[in-house]
Amino acid sequence: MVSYREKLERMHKGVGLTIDWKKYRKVMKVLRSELEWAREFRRSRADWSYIESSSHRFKRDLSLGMRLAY
Amino acid sequence: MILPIVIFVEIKREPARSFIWYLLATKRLLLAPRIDLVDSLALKLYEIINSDPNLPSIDPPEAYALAFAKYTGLPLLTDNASPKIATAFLEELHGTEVYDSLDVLALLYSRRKLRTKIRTFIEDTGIEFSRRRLREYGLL
Repeated sequence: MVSYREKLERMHKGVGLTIDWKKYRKVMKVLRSELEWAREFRRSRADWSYIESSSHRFKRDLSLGMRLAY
Repeated sequence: MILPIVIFVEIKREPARSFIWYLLATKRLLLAPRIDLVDSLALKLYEIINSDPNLPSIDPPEAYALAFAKYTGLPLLTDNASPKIATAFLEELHGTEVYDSLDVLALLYSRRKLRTKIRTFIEDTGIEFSRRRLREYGLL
C-alpha cells in the first residue's frame, strides 16, 4: 500500500517540484497550532446572539418548507 | 514596486485602482506583463499547493505572484498564508521572500513605535496577527 507521503512525493515529482520533508513536518506543526488559534479567535469574536437567531430562523424556514413540500 | 498585470485585473474597487494609477503616474510602481516562464511555475505551484488538503489553498493570481517573486528575486507582499507556507518547504522556492503586513510594519518602524502602528493597522483593516507572529518580533 502506498503511503500518503509517497503519494505526495510522486505527485510533486510529476509536477517537477521538490518537498523538503523535514521542513514540511515542521510547517505542518506550526500551521495546526495557528489554525487552532484562528478558530478560537473567530469563536471568541463571533456575534453568537445573531448566529443563534439566524440559525433558529433557518430551522423554522426549513421546517415550513418541508411541511409545504409534503 | 512591481505589480503583475494578472494581479492588477483582480483589483475591482475604484479607489484602489485609482491609487495604483497614481503610483504608476508618479513612477513608483511598474506594471509587469504576463511572462510565459512565470506562468509555467505558477501553474505547478497552484496544482501542488491545492492538491495537498493540509495546506491553505492558493488562487491563480496569488500563485502567479509567488512564481513572479521567485523569477525576479523580489519579495512578495501578501497577507495570504499560502505563499509564505510554500516557501518554507518547497526547494524550488528556496530564498524567495514573502512579507505579510506585520513584516512590512516591522521593517518600517522601530520596536518602540511598532506596537502602536500594529494596533492602528488592526483597527483600520481588521487583520489580526497570531501570538506566535507577534512573539517573532518580541512583542509578547
